[in-house]
Order: sequence, then structure tokens, then C-alpha cells
Amino acid sequence: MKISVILDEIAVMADSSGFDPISNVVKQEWLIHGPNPYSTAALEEAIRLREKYPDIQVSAYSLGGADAARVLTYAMAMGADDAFWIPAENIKFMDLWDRAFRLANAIQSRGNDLILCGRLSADENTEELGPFIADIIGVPFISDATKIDMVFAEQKGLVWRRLERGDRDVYEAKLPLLITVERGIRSPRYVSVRKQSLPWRITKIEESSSNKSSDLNVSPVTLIGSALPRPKPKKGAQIATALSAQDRLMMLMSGGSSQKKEGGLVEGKPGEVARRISEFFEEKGFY
Amino acid sequence: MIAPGSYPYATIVMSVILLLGITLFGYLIYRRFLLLRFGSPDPRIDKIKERAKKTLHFALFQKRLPRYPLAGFIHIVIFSGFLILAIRSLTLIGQGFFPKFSLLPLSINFAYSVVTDYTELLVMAICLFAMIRRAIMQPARYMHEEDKVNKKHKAEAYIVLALIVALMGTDISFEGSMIADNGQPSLLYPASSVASFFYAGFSEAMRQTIYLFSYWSHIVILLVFLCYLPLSKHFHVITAIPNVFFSKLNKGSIKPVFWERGDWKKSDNIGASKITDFTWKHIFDFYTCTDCGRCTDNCPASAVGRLLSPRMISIKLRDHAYASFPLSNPFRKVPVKRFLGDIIEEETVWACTTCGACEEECPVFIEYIDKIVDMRRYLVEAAKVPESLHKPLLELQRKGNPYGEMPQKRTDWATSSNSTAVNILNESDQCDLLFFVDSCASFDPRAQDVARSIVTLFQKADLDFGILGKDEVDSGHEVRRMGEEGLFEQLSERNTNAINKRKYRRIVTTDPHAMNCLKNDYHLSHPVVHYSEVLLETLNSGKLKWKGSINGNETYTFHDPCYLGRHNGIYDTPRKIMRAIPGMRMVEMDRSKARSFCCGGGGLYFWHEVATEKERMAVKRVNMAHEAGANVIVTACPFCLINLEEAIKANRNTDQMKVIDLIELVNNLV
Amino acid sequence: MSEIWVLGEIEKDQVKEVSLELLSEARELAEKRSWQVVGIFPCENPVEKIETLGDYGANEVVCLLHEGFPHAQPEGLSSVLFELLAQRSPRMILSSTASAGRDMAVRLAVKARIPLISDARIIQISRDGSKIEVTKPTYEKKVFTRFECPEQKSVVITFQQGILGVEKVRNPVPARITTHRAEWPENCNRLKYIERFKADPRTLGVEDAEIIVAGGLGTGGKRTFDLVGELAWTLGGALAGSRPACDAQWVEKNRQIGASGKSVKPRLYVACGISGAIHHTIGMRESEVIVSINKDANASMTKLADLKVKGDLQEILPHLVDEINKRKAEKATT
Repeated sequence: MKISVILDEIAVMADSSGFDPISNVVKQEWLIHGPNPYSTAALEEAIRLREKYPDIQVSAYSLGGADAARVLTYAMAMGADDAFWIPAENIKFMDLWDRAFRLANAIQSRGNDLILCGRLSADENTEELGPFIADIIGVPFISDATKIDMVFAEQKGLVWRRLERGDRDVYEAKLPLLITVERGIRSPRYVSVRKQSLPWRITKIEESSSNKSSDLNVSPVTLIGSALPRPKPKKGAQIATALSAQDRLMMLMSGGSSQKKEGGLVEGKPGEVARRISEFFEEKGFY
Repeated sequence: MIAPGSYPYATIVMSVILLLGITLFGYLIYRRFLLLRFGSPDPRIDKIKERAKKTLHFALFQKRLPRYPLAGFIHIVIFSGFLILAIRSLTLIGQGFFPKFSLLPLSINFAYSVVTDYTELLVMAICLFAMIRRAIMQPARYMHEEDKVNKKHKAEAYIVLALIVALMGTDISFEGSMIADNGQPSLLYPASSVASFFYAGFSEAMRQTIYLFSYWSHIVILLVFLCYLPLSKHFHVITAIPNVFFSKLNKGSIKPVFWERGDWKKSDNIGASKITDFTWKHIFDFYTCTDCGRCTDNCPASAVGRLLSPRMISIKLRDHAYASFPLSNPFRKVPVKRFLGDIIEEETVWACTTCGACEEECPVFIEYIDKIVDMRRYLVEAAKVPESLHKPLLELQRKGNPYGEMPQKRTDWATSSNSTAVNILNESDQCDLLFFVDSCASFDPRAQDVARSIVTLFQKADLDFGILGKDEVDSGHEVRRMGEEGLFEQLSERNTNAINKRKYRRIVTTDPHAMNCLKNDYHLSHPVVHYSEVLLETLNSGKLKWKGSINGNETYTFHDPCYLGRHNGIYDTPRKIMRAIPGMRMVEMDRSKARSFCCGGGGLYFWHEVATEKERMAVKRVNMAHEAGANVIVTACPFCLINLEEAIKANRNTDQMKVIDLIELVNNLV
Repeated sequence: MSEIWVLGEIEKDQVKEVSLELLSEARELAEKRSWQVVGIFPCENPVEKIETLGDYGANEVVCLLHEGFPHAQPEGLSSVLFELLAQRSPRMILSSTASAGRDMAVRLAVKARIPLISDARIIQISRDGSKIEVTKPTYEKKVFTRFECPEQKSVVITFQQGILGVEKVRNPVPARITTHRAEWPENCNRLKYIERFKADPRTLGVEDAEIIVAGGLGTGGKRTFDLVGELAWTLGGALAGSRPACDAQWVEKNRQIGASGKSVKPRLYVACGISGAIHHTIGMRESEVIVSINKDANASMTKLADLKVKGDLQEILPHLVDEINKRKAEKATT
């Protein structure tokens, strides 16, 4: 029984100072690189499944440059049985269908029963890589899993999919299957610096020339660049709030986010204050 | 009367008893010694002079025992009794072979026999009292939660006390029967005289029988006692003195993963999870533990109901060591069973704040922190770090601080203030004092105030100082103590590099943890001091003048941070500073100085939440200050400050109290 | 290539607000180019409200009817959508980032092998309609990245609720409504739907909640703290507490937010009487919108908040709960 886990490395910008809005450049020194927490949650789930059921082999896959090799080292240190590196340059500029194709090729040829990957690539804010891979390999997928209950003997399992407000949809699916997991599914184990520094064996996969991603016949999305765009005001009647116009625009763009925070103070009679808070909630669409 | 040694069989009987007793004893000691040899290496034969001095003070003069006055008194009586009576016992053995045998010159023989009698009486009385005390008075420290589960070890105390009483009794009876036969009862030897009254009415033959019986039973009990020592907690009679001699000298430091040379990272057996993973000295500690309970009695984790009792770590691991290396099977070699998660629960290992109260109290210098760190090292490598620590540790790996802030923001506290800018040292820059800020004072808004106070005060005093700026990372103090040695190495290497690239005379820190770490864990070429030491020097030099005095309605108390006081012995410096403040009214808490009570721990303990806990340590501590009549708690550690501040807010009784850092207090008044 | 689709969602016999937002957006984009806005609503039964979607800009509404739509037949639904897509090749398909909308969007993109841009903020279309540029947040919303979609191809774009806003059309024309019974080949039944777990809002875990209302020591006691709970449930969110509040047992330990508790990133975090010590803020500072209600306007939490409120919780909270309930009721009737 094989579980394949797809991992990626992400760059976290822990502070908004990492983006220069004048030159529209992401400052590299403000980026912290590390494994995507959604990927490590997926790997943790795979390792837990292995601890529960005998005869499971957990393989880690990653596509990319040195970052991919790093994340695979991390995966081995966490406890993956083997790691496969599909080298590629500049994957952040590569279309997701293309990336999915290369990963799918590598996984497919190694025979897999269960494929796990993170729900989201936290820096790129994309969630379609897993489903694309599932489609190329030809297996069904379930996204946003918060719980996986596998019965390997019967080649099937139950998957809990996260909905809004704590609700869950439960699906039953037969293997082979691809599941994208939520971050909260498992807290990935802590991997000591020593373990990360050990010389783990990582298998490099050279791309076969027979398969080409162009066979997929998909047209790519092109990354043009980064910018703080001029936001378009939200439709509908604007309700007066405590926020300044500029704060409001920033907030519209980011859907929140934690920089600005220089708005005025709301105070007054309880009824009046309550009205203004509820207006704020309504404007943000919280009910 | 015929002396026991005058019987023709005496030599043979004595030889057989001695042979049996000493052979058995020898076997026991051999087995115990063998197990030590399976332990990992631990160099302890350096600084002989210092060790000898320590042994004299703490083993022979028993300096730590009177910290518990009654128990200390009892122990000192029994211990001195043992020293005195050792000669008597050897003499008695000798008399089995030669009836007139004497170790001492005849001239003082009489005086010694008088001393012997009084000593025996005293020891017997004390032992009887000690038994009563245990059984009826029941000191609270023997009534720990775990005592209710683990009852076996409680009987040992009674067995040994009874054996001592029997030893005394048989010798008294031996002497008494002799006096009854041909001597005069006298106040010079009251115990034997009282015994002689009992035997006065007996026939001569009966007295001779009692005489012989007392003698031989004394000899047999003596050897039974000897052999019982290595089997029980009373092994300390033999091991205590060497244990003090071999005890750790550099307080505050943490042992390396392995004492052997070579790269520890290449080993796949890191930390302690089996008994032989401990160093020989740590196993020796288990032998030496006397189950006195002082460690647990002073353990703050135990006091707030966490699953930690240092004493039980020793007792359980000693029992485990003996069970996995049994005496009954001389061919069984290295014990391999893991005790972690089974005999010692994982939660127990993480419940310790490394405050050092247990080690400070232990009369025989048993080490707990190094053992706990070794057990944590195992758990870290086995990927069993408590979930609450994952996040700060990952942030430390990636950003060099547990707060998850970008390294670029490390100096924001210094640059955003209105005061004159802090000198941020570039490589190869020079200053007198290198101010090591550490993560807490760099990123925690409350601790930033403390760092800024240091800066303004140093500027007022016109000191030449600077900071490392963005080159500084977390000191790694708690990282190391949480068992993440690899990460600690990384952090300490980065800091050491940054520090060595600057020229300075001394390093000064805000945080006692950072001071301890740089002083005892790093290998720096220049001294590391706490700001309070610099502050006292500056005040003494007269560079600073008091401009204000404190509010007359306030009563102050000083809370000793564990890593300033216990681990580094700085108790008086902050007190001297406080007393120098005009208008200062100061009280001491019951638990102060070496007995200070931990606030809950700094560094990573800020993130760490244990599952079992009845009360916060800081809340308990604030109550202690309240009971002492103080309404302002002064401390000298940012973590203590933050923990106590939160505790004050949380408790209605104490919400009028205040907590302030020493530097803030002084800075406001100069 | 002259249609914009909106994958609509229906909840409790109502068209979800986000679907109206998407229709409004589609209308605005279609306006200058005489494109058609088509609302696609997979559902079990058509609901009344569908008739009025013309008001929001829909030219046409297609109801795809099947038992258990949309969640119980994810693969079947995507097959039906794909068939429709193959017939009509819309220029773009808009959907929501809610669980249902997101699943439809991804499955359709997969089935049709077309690009997907999730969690978008802005769509810009060149005058002739050939070029589509989409801006979306990356790096945890700290950077905005622009993407260009391929020409002559459909593209799926998803939006979060509350970003776009709803606007009614000035002179609405009723939408043409067609209903289809959905059918699909047998090989699209690989997933078997078992059931739905409805979470009790009162026991909703903080990890699951998009809205968290937390109380601290500033609430002053269990009674006021219970008002905080009232607000949480009124907003459909989860109740949480700072460490001292949990220590005081006003709220369960597993709802503690902070360094030694849980780290959360909800869309809305309402801090009631929380001073904002770093111990707490470390666990919630990445929340999207932060509201602080506190007696003390200088509390550190106020610095972090998007809406800073100074006042007495005991007075404000009951009013706030009433006000929200009133507004909710008003909204339901319009």
C-alpha cells in the first residue's frame, strides 16, 4: 500500500514591509522559506496512517529547484519512507496545469493508492494543484479534508470535508483517491534541527521525453506581475463607518489584513455604539 | 563473665559471619558499580580542591540539612552518632577475635565508652522519635500525591530506623548485662545502667546468655544493616559523600549531549530514555537519593499540581534501574527497557521550568535539570515535542525568535523611541558594554519598556554601550533546556559569531536567562553580567544622583528570578540597589533568595501549557508577596515581570498590587 | 464567447448573498460588451427568489435540478456543467470561495481543463474583450498579483463573499429561466455522499470558526462573559477567551487563544475586554478584521484593531445583540 504526499515549499512574508508598493517588488530578504504547512499536515496524516496500519509506504514528491529538495529533506526528517524530486526551474511562473502534469507523471509511474496534498499553497494562494493532478492521473478527489478514515483492507475510506461554520460533509470513496487536506487535520510533528541536517536520500526523477504537458492542450495563465492595484469601490450603498476612506480601500483589497489600523475611536451612548458596530459588521458581510 | 571472644568457636563464627556479610555486601556493591559502568561517561575528576571543600562543607558538615530544622537536627544527630559509633562497631568485631581488642589507646578508652553510651542513647531516642514523626506527625512532604500510589518505598525508612534502634539496643544490652554482672550503674553510662537494672535479678547463666546473645545479634544486625544499605534508599550512607564530591560545579550550565568527543549529531541514541542513557553520575544520583522529599517540597511545579515530583523521578528510576538490572540474575547485562512514557510520563518531563529549586535544596546535590534536559532531548529526537511548543520552535528555526517577527524588526524597539538613538554596532565596532537584548525585550511590548529603561539609564550614566542589532538572534536559553540542542547550536553559533566580530569589554543583558546562557552555555572570551550588576557599580561610582524618592505608602519586595539568584548566586546586588533608593520600605517574602518561587518560567515556557495544573505559579507567587505585606513587587527579569503582571490582574485580592522591573524603578528616580 | 456564467448557490431556500454579488459583478463586466450574464443554479428544487434575479443583472438563469445538488453529487454536477460549457463556451465562469462554490469551480476547471483563478479581487477586461486580467492576493494577502488569462478560452474565477457588493440593476428585465433535469454517465459516481454533520453553533470550535468573539479579564466576570457568548452565537461565530479568562473558568480551556493556546486566523475577531498582551495577540494578530471593545482606549489591542470601540461591555453588548438580530430580520424580509 502506497501513500504519496505532494509537498511544496512556500515563502512567507511575515510582514507587509516585505513588499515595496512603489517599485512593486517583493523584497527577497523579507521572505522566509519553509515547507507549506498544508503539505506537512498532509504528510503528518500519511505518517499517522502508516503508524496505524502496517505495510504502508509513504513517499514524498516535490517539484521545483533547490527549494523542492529542501522540502523533501524536511519530509524525510519528518518520517517519509522515500522522497522523489522532480527538478524544475522557476515553478512560480509555471502554469498549474503544467506543474500538475509533471507531478502526476512522477506519481503515476510509481503506482499509488492514496495521494495526499495540502489544500492550499499558502504563498500563491492556489488550491487547484491537487485536483489537476487527480484529473491527469484519472482518480477522483475530495478537497478540504479535516478527517480521513481509511479501511485499507477494503480499499476505501470515509473523508470529512470542511464546510462553513463547523459543518462537515462525509463522502465515501474507493481507492485510488486524491485528498487535499486542511491545515487543521493534524499538527505536523516538530522536526529537530539535527534531523533536518542529516544526509537523507532523495531520488531525482529525470523527466521522460515521451510525455509532454502540451499533450494536455491547456492554455496557461500568465503571471504579469505584482502591484498594489487601485481598488474598485465595493458596490451598493456605502455605509458610514469609523474607517477613513483610505483604510476602507485597503481593507476592501485585502479582505481585511493587518497593517493600517489607524482609524478613529468609536465611543458614545451604548445604543449608538452598538449601531455603529453592527453597521461595520454588515458592511464587511459578516451576517 | 566470659567475653564472647574467649569462646573457642568465636573466631570461626565471626569469620563466617564476616565472610558471608562482606561477600554479600561486596556482590551488591559490585552489581551497583557494574551498572554505573554501563552509564555514559561523565568527567567529574577535575578541580579536586573545590570538590574536597564542597565535600567537607556539605557532606561532612551537612550544611544543607538544617534548612529543614527538625529533620536536619535528627539527621545530624544520627550522622554524628554513626561517625562516633563506627569505632565502637569495629572494636566489637575485633573483640570477636581477640577479647581484649581495642582500636583506641587505653587512656581514652574509658572516655570513649562514656561518649558511646550517651550517643547510643541519643541515637536510639532520635530514631524512635523519627519513626513516631513519620507515623503520627506525618510531615506534609511525605504525603505527596505519588506517595499514595507508590507505597513500597515508604517502608524502607521504618526498616532502617528499626535496624538502627536494634543496633543501639543490642550494644546497650551487651554493656548492660556486663554492668549487671560486675559493675556499678553510673550516670556516666546511663543507657547501659538502665539496661543493667533489668538484668540485675537474672541468674548469672542467664546474664551470660543475654551477654552473648546481645553481642552476636549486634554483629549480625550490623552486617544485615550493611547489606541492606545498597538495597534501599539508605545506600546514601555510602554514596552521599562521593556524590557530593562528584557533584556538578558549574551551576546554571547544561551538560552536553555526550561528554565524549565527536559529533553528537551522528549518534542515533540521543538523550535519555533508557537507564543506561544517563551518565554514571546520574545513575549514582539515583543510588544516593534518600527520599527526603525536600526537592518536591520546594518544586513550584509540584506546588501548583503539575505532574512533577523530582523526588519521584529519582525513586522511580532507582527502582527501575534495580529491576532492570536485577541482583538475582548476575548474567543479565545491560538493561534496555525504555522508561520514558511508561515509568516517567512525558508530561512530567515537560512540567519542569528548570528553576533549580530542587537542586538548591538537595542535601546530597542530586541533579535534576540535566536529567530532565536529557529526557527532553530524547523526546525531541523522537518527534514528541508538546504541540504548544511547535510554533515557537519553528519560528526560532526560521526567524531566530519565537515571536514570529521578522529579524529586520529586531531593533524597532530602539529606533522607535523618542530617546537618543541606541548605538547599533556594525562588525568590528567597539564599545565598553555590549548590550545583549534577546528576543523578549526586543519584541514583547512590555519588555521593550524595560529595554528602553536600560537604554535611558545607561545614557544618563554616560556609559559606552551598543547592541548587535539585526545580527542578534535568540540566546537559545530555553531552546537548550527544552532539549532542542541542534537549534541551540545554530542560535549560539550565530550569536557567538556576531559577538566576536565586535570589540567590547563586557556583555550586559536585560534578562537573567540570557545572562545565564551567554555565561554558562556559550564560550565567550569576555565576562557576561546582568544589568543589575552594572547598575550597582554605576550607583556606587556616584555617576547617578537620586532625583526623586518613592511614595511613602508603598511597601516593596524583591522577587528573585531563578536564573539571577539560584543559578548565578546574585541575591544581594538587586537588594543593595533597592535599599539605596530614598524612601524605600522593603519586606522579604517567606520564600526569597535561594528559596525563591518560580514565576512560571521564561522563554519558551511562555508558550508551553501543561495539561495538569491547579493554579498558575505566578498567581501563587503574587499571593506570597501579598501575604508578606508588599504592594509593589520588584523583579529583574522581563519574564517574571510579564508573568507576575498578568497574575496580579487575574486575582481580585491582589489587583491593587503592582509589579515593576528594578531598572524601571531606578530609572524613574535618577 | 459572449457569456459570463455565475455558479449560483442556494441556502435555506434563499439565493446566497455572494451569488447576488457575483451577478452584479458579471453584469458590470458584461455591460459594455453586450455579453450575456447567465446564472447557473444547481439545486434540488427551484426557489422563488430565482425569478427576481433579473434585478441583479442576470439575462438568463439555468436551474440544474437533481436530488442532492450540489454537494451530494460533486462529480455528476461537474459533468453536467462541463457538458453545458462545451455547448456554450462562456468567456468566464464566476463562483464563490465558499465550500460549495469552490468545489463546483475546481471540478469544472478540472473537467474542462481550463485555468482557475481562485480568491480574486479584481477583473479587468480589455475594451475589445479579448484580454482578461485578474488580480488576486498572494503571500497571505500582503501582495497582489496580476494574471493574464488565455484568449479564446473559458476561465474560472472565484471570489470571497463580501468583497464585491450587491447592486441592483436600474431598469431590470426579468431573466429567462430554464430548468434542466440533470443527467450524467455512470462513471461520474465515484464519490458516495454519506451525510452532513451540522455543527452546533454553541460548540463550534475556534479552529472552524470564521468569526470569533473573545472575552478577556476586562469583562470583569462570568456574567458579562456570557454576554460575549451571546454575541458570538448571534454572529454565528465561536466563543473564545484569553488565558486569564480561561484560568478563571469563564470559558473552556480548549477555547483559549494565544501563545499557549490556539492560533487562529478568522475573518472577524471581536476582542471584548482584552488588553492585548503579546501572549494573546500572538494567537490572533493575523485575523482579517479585528474589532476591539474595551473600557480602556489605550489598550494594546486597540492599536491592532480595525474598529476600535471604547465603552462598557455590560452596556454595549445587549444593545449590539439586539441590533444585529434586528438587522438580520430586516434583511431576511427584503
